[in-house]
Amino acid sequence: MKSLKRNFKSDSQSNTISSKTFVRSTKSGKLQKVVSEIYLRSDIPCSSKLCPLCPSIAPADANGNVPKPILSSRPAGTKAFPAGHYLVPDTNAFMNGMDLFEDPGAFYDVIVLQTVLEELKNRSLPLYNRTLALTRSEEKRFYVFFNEFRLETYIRRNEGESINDRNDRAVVRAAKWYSEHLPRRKCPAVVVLTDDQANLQKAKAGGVTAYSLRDYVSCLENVDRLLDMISEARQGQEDRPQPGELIYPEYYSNSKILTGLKAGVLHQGIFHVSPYNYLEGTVQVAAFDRPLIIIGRESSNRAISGDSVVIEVLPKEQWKAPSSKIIEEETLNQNDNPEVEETEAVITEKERRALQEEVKKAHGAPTEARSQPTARVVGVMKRNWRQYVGTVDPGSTGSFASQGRKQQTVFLVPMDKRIPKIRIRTRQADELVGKRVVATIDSWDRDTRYPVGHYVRSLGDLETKGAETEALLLEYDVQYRPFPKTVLDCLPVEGHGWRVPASSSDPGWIGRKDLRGLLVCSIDPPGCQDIDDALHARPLPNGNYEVGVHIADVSHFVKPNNAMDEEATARGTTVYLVDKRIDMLPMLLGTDLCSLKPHIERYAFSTMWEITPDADIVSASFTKSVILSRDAFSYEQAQMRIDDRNASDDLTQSMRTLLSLSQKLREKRMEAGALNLSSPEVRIETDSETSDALTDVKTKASLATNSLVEEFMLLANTTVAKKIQSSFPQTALLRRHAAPPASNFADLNDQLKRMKGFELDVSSSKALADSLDKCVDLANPFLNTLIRIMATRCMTSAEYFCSGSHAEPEYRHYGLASEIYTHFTSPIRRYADLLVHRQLAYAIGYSGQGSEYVDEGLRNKSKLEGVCKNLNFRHRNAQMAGRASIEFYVGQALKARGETTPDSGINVEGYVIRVFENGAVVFVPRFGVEGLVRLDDFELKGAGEGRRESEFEIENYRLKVWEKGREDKAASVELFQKLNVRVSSEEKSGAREKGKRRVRIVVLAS
Amino acid sequence: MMPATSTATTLSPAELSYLHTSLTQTPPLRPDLRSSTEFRPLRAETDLLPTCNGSAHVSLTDGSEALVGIKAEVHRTAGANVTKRLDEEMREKMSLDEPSSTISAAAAAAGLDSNRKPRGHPDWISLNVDISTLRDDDALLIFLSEMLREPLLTTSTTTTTTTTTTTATRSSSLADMLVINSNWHWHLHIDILLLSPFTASGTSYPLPLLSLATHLALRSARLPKLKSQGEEDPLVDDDWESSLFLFPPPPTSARKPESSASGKAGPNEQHSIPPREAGRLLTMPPITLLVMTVNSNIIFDPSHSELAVADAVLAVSVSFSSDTTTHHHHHHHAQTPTLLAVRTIETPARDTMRGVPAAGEVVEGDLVPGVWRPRVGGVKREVLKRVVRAVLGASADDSGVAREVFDGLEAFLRS
Repeated sequence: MKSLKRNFKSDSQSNTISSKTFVRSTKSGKLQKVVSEIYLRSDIPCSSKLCPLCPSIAPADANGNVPKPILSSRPAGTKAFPAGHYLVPDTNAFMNGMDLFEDPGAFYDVIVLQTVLEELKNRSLPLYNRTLALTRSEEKRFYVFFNEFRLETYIRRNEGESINDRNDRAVVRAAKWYSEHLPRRKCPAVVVLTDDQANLQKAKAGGVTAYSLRDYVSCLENVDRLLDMISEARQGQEDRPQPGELIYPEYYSNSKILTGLKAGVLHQGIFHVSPYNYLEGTVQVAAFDRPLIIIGRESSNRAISGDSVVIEVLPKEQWKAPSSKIIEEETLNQNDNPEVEETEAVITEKERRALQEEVKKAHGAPTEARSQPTARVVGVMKRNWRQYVGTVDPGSTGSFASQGRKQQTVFLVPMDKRIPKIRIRTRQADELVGKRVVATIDSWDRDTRYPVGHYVRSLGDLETKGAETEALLLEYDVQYRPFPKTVLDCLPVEGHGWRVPASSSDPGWIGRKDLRGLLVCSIDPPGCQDIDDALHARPLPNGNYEVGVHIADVSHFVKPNNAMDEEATARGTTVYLVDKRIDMLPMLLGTDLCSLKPHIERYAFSTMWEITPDADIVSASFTKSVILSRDAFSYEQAQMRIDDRNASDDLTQSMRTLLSLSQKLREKRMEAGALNLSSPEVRIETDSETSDALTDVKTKASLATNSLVEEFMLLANTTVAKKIQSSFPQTALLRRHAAPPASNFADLNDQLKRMKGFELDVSSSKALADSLDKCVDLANPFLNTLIRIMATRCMTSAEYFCSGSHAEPEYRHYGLASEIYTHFTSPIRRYADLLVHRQLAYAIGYSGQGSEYVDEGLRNKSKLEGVCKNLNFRHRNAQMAGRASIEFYVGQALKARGETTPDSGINVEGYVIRVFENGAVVFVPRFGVEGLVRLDDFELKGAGEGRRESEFEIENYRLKVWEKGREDKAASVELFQKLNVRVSSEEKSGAREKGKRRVRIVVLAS
Repeated sequence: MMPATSTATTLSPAELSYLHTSLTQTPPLRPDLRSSTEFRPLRAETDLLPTCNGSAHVSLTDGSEALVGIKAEVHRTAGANVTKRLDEEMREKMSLDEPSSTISAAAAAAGLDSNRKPRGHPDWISLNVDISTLRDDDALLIFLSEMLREPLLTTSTTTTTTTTTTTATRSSSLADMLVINSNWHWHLHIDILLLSPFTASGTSYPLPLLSLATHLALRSARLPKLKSQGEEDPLVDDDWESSLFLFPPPPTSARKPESSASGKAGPNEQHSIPPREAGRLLTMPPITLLVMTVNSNIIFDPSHSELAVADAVLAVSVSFSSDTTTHHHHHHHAQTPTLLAVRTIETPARDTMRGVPAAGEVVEGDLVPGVWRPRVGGVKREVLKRVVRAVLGASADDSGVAREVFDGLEAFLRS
């Protein structure tokens, strides 16, 4: 019998072939035994510039390019390695010291082994991605060495050897190979970095230099800073004493969670912490209409806002009304945490099932039944930890502070109130107090009340503009670094001197219409530099009008898939802060070459309609074009020009035509049920040189010209959406706004009914629009706007999506009452519009310059879905960053005022939008800010410093406040009430943000 | 009665008669000079198909060769009620805590409460035999596969007598071993392939070869290690090295030298494989042996030519088990063979041509010595008894043919 078994030992080929066996669990639950063969080769380069051999044998890629060596020929030396060294970190070195590797001050010339990279991918995807990013950066010189494919460095797993041991051996083998492979004479040291004691010994036994991260960092410069950046999560494991009291319950096992999720007794969702009560969170799960409430630390069980968690519904006895109290971490003592008492009842599976039904019933019931289903976290599917900006709690630095360099544990209090304090160990406690500090969370074990993290870097002193702005950008994950050189290389070589080619035989003119003769103008906010859009209108012989919307042709300058395009994809949108704009595209394009500035020829993408005087659309067409804008107006200037009876030139006439058409379009839209929503928007005009910065804060005025532009932009977006959807039925980039579930409005509706006798009809957007119109209180004209602001918050947010991922009826944009919608009109500041431009160019068969770059991504649904996800995320963050920036600005302005004239707040109108047991939330339209009003912030007639008492009438949303013993002098506020408040800036006293000022709102005695 | 080994033999009546006469001698005189219980040399290798959970390749000296591959999949058990089962488990846990439990701990430990333990279902094992020269619906194929499947599904009941009690222990069938929990089970696909050409002349009846190959494949089969527990949906360790044998190797004949060394450490030293279920029998997959009788002679592993003159052909299926409770203190864990089934197979001698006696010798209907007469089959009860005894072993000294075969196969697994 001839043996059929492949015997690697006796096979003559055996030294170049090996195999790897593992079990793969497929999504459908199937198990596959997978055997992959590994073909070993000896031409994988070491990529050191010192190596005389590898460049000659290294294989070329598909284009025939031999990759250039990465590792420096003169690597940096340290005290221990004066001749220079290459680093070979193992997996746990990356796990514990990722921030170190990213530090610009150290860690150059690193060999990332394939073994390590694969292990890292299995253990932590974010860290894997960060490592990949490092290998791509040229300056750090990280080289991925495919040691598992190289004959000399591949090792076979021994019988009975664990995978970890085998991988450790592979790391040692690779390091040894490097030190033997490189020319002996000038060979730098090859140093294995590992945080595993056993591996350290193995490496030393194998004759390889090995260091633990800590020991290695100790011989670098800047020791203290670098040491602080090592993760606390794992390295402490060995020397940590007996685990103390276990504060938190254990998570369920992975398989138990999966079984529970499948059976529908456990649920998965994103954990959100209430901004008013840090001990209360909610999780929206697919099974129920309304979110489940999670009360108390024990129930939230180490979940941090943003984590994807698995929850279990608690028995009905433990259901609670959502808290009507403001609880802030800073005001609470650690000792009196209102932890929830939990009696662990044994619940059978049947009862657990029945419980799910109960939840549905309770969610369906009107809100009078105040007791709401609660749940507890039993597992975490995915941590969504990021870097957090905060301040070091000076109270936590302890008395050791004076002893200098000693390592101590301090609390980092994040800016985001929903994030718990983070314990970090640092040697620089003294320097860090009073600074904005970036830190990350490493772990949160059962025996620590707060998560453990480590220092990443310091942004600078608190309250300084630079530090605060950077903090804000970091918190909202805005990419604010200057554009790298690779991006700038993609700009036109002519720079600012670029002009539309004069000769119409130039390739730039192919497929482009000459619309220079049209009387085009742009209308934008004052001081706008990135002009995306321009308009024109002219009468046609048949009595109709031709209207054109001309959008900057950004896609002409940003070619698909180059560095600039990738950067723009990642940024997603331009972020507008009060005093800063973080551009999506380099300045040259945004404010010059693309911007439709007046009196200069520019490339545009034009949408033109024939419109009847009654604003009915007869036809639409699209073309790339060249335009010459006659003027750039601000809204006010345009309005004045239109209103000026003496002006009768063609441009003014065309603007008047546009205005009257836009009003008719708007009417039609409102007829169809479009919502007129409001958000608390203020604008800040910083260019004015007035002494009082507060006067810069302007609420957005709404002129007729605003809505003129808006209407035509909506029209253009809708028209383009239809066009691209017909060309890309599966992959058109559209924007939708889902109808909000009626349950979202339940609370607001109840409040309106009780307080004002209004009722919202949420059956359709039309019904809602009509009922919102009826919410008018003649005595309080702002109330309607207030209700609109609050209604907006009840809605889902609009999102970009790929047409193939939703059924056609789901395309609807609820707020605009449009069947289909997209973004086309702001390609300079939104990436979605740029993509839509490309899709439209393809849809109309544009064949001119640039059409030779085919973007395969336009037809790739999964890629587009990824892009959409990122765009939605960036869009939301940009909005929040903008708002936070205004808040900061208002605070600064108030502070400036407070400094010049102490104790003089500014008295303005405020409206109560939420009432709690121990305070209220007041919205100040003048500054577009809202703030908490605590009991102490009520000005009471003749009151002293006595303790405040309060009474909360939950049914009437009314709060009564008085000083102890003086109930007769009580003040009371109720929901929607108009108040006189004094807004001022004052330094915070709490530990949370020592030295940080906050906007204080005081309710004045009426 | 199974169909004969198909087509007729090419031997002449004279040759048949000669063979028959030789085999009726005491001891029988076999053409290849084997003793009556001696098997032809066999070669085997296991675990050769990389993507299978278990596999074996076996060949006999006559050139017949078989390959068996086993794949295991996780399947949801039909008709399982998630809620009910989870509930039951919960109650079970609670009731075990109560001292007033009606189930005695001893009984529970002995695994007697069989309603509680989920049992396997025969459908969980699919078996497919493929012989290249035969059509898929060939009767022989169907009968062969049933012949191989049947012993895998049957269970034997043995009676163990200890000093105090007599307990009837039902050994678990292969299907029972596939239970993961009340909602999930492993499904085994056993694919059996006869590699050698199957011709009427020259190759022997393939049943024993296929049975031995299946036995070896099953014993080399490994299932991924489960990380989930109890009623949870199965979740497995992705490291193949950590997978577990479906049939844990018996401790004495451990495959690694170091674990046999540890066996000497003393009576307290437990063997490396945790006892699966105390009190239950550790079973081994069955084997089916082919035995023929000639007059009162019993001949094991008949060759093709020997079969042609068999009075009766028997397929004897035997399973093996070692009792984990009673034999802990023995260094040698005896694999006790248990009879599962005896099937008769139609003898090919039935279809042979009758010999024509020399002139003058005609005695119609009577046996003429030296003149071949087709056999009609049938075996005496007494002979049958002896067959069973020879297979299972009559006494402590005589371990029986089944044990010998088992030990012989063991050597291939160890190599």
